[in-house]
Amino acid sequence: MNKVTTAKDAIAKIKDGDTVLVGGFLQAGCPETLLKALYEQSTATNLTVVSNDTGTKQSHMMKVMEQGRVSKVHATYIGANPLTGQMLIDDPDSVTLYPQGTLAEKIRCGGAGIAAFYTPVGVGTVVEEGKEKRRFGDQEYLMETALRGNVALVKATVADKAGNCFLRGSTKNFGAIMARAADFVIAEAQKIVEVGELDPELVTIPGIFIDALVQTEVEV
Amino acid sequence: MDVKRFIAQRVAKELRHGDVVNLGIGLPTLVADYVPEGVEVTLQAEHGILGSGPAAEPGKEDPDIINAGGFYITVQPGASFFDSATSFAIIRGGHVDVTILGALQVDEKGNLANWMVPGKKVTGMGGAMDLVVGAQRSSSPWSTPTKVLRKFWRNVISRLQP
Repeated sequence: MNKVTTAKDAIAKIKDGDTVLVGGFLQAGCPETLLKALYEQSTATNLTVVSNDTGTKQSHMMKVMEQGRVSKVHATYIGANPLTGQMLIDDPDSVTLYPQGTLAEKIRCGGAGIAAFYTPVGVGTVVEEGKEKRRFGDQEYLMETALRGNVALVKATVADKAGNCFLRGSTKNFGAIMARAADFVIAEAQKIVEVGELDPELVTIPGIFIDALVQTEVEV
Repeated sequence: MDVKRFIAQRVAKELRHGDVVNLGIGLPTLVADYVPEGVEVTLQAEHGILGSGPAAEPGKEDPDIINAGGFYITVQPGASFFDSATSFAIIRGGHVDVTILGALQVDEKGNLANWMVPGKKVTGMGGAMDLVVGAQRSSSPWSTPTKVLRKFWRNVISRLQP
């Protein structure tokens, strides 16, 4: 099955009120072609964005936020995007911050059919507020629930037309796990090859998780 | 020597041969310059590298290989890359020996405040909370608390550097 499409058609899947998982750690693995399409060719609004850091100042993520289309953010580090910091000051409930390993595990569980998990991280800090605490052995743990998106945007280095993706170097980060945790997953790839040309041993994201594939045209 | 490099040099003396070490953004990255003679360590980066190397030479930057601060780096022979869930399995699972963190405040008991000043600046905790829970030893530059942010503290730092 050929999953190649245009950024405009793929991004049309994002509807008002959707939760959008955005891969990348700062510029590494940031799906910039898809974010540019979200900025220029979509009017979907009231979005919840899940991202490690909501990107850098150079990313189109900032421009989508400037359009006022992002109403909630889930992230771990927002020091590189001043708009997310401002959102948090203006409305503390609009931005939820998690320890990075907790956000990663919430997404991993969301893609793996696991409802919740217990982690020792955050016990004794503001992170524990409102969460179930439970003792296992001699240590206390917090219950964290799984997180899924309506749509995920991820970036690959090489993909075949069936959606098998290779993510090179330190670009794997959140994209590799977000691709498992959304109802509709869009991957952009720097290079798209025919089925059979990507070594199965090099597949970071099996094609079964990918719904649409777009050629990378812009980078951060 | 400026004070940051002085602190980095002192912190580096805490490292033991064979340690897996995570260096935070900022001052902690300087520690890599002062690893003592005869001590070999493996650097872990939270976004998915085991075996980080020095900064990439100008003109030889690889856009797919950055450190946790977004700067282009190299990797050492024997390095590996992985996704964020695997990275925090390494961190939370106790496989990192030492984490060296920057801090806003640390008290004499090792409680750490490092990711927000209420009403002013919020950067988020990034991977710091997972690191201080998962690493076998934690180290942070020490400063006398001037304003108590106790709500954000946790007794986690095993070694303070005055």
